Amino acid sequence: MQCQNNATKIKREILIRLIELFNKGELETKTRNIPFQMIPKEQESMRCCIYKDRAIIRLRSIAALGWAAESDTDDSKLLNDYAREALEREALEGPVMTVLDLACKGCVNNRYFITDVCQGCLARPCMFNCPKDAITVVNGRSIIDPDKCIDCGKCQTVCPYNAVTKVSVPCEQACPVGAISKNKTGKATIDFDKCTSCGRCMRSCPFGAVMEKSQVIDVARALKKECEVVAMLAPAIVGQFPGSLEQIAAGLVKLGFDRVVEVAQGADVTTVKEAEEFIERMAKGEPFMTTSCCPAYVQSVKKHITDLLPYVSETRTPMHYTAAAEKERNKDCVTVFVGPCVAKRQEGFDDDCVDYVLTFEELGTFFVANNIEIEQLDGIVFDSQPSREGRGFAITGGVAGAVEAYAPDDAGIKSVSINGLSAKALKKLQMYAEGKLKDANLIEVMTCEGGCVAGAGAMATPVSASREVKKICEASCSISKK
Amino acid sequence: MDKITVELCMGTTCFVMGGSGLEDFVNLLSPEERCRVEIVPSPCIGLCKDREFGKAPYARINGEVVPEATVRLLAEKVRNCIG
Repeated sequence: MQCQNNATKIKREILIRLIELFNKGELETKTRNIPFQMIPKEQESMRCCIYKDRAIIRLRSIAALGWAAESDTDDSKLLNDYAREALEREALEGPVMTVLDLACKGCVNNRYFITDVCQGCLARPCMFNCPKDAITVVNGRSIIDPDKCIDCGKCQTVCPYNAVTKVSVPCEQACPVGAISKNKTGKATIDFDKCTSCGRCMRSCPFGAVMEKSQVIDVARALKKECEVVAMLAPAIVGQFPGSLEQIAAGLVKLGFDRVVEVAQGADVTTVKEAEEFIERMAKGEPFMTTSCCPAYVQSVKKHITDLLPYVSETRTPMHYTAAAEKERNKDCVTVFVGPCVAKRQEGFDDDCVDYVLTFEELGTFFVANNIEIEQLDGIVFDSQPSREGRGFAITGGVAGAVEAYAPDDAGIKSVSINGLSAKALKKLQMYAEGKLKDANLIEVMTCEGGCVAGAGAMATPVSASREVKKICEASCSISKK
Repeated sequence: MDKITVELCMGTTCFVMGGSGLEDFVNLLSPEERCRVEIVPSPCIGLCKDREFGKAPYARINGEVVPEATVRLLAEKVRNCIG
């Protein structure tokens, strides 16, 4: 589903309001008004009534304050209390994703359904091709017996009138690892032992019932403190906001960040180490190696394709190297990664060098709440310029391409990109692990189709974002010494 | 024939509230309709400042303000202008 829709707009509006209240010092006293301000009495309700709409806005605000909506067992607890606790907490804890049961529609189960378009034809290909005899004709129309149907979809492909439709549960459909499913009451729940925090369920739910626990309040608090706060911008950031990379950085300085660095710097470290590790592994006679920058992919391996674990590179991610360099420069600085990725927040929880993770969407709400017009700012000058390849990590093929560019020609790299982690792609990876597939020795995996530019926390369309990333790559120097 | 000017607000609020990618509305137009359109990126129009986030993103077609702009809405309005 497109990132621009009503559900994302509502989420962004809540984040903007929270940051504004924080700025005015009214978070503890006025957060509870948000549902009433956003759903005023005279407004037409989006669901059954405005009271339910407000209850859902309350739940969204809880998630936006960084708490799990599932933990809200006491309806009478005020948002002000959640806000106060957010202002007092030491750190946010995982898991990242949270389901708002009240917002969940409890969609009907995945199944095939024959619509009114059915003409009750003589040929009845649906009936004759169904392997389970699940279709009968009643009153001149085909119907499917749900108890017999195995969801094979044959009837859909053979119907000459396109009368068969598939009703699907968007979140279940979107999840590549089967981590989200309906519970006894029909509402979606996430099995966190399976979840990789990729954020696809959040993007796909038409009711906006899945959210991430936000760290905006934690970052806003850090910005107010005396310490040095460093923004680390993921390579995918160009094209996410109006204005150039330098102007976006200037916007961050205006927000109160003391220093802005490009994560592409860390990507350059990753490239070098990844290339060295590749050569080392090949010398040991290993069949292949996979990249490890994508946190949702690494989680997928740990939780779902453990056979692949020995082949995942041990080189750390660009975020880690960037943050580690900052902590080495000033051990007391606060590091804030700004990227398109929800899974990075989980990675951030597990990495001591990374203090907070903001998505582009959240950064955008910071800009709005602080009235920062990016396009009108003078850009800042960065200390150093990362390479073309480092900046290209944001697009599928970028990571493998960087390793290829850096490694010597005799390294014998044959790379392949898994562009988007689907159930099918997981099977393919399993085949590499079992030695059944041998067409490549460097496998780059991107959970999001298109690469990081298509992340769940991105704002621009992947097409326009990759266009801008490519532009800045072309203007940068190569890491290759060849 | 006169061009139809479509101004897209590039202010931060409009961008964050859904303005990024609005230029794709031309994809919904026929080639003939498309050549009548001129897209002009505009700095913040200033309408978001009165706390009406719900109304962003804004666009302007031949000077007329279009609140809550979507690709479909813009394509429709442009077609109306063409007549």
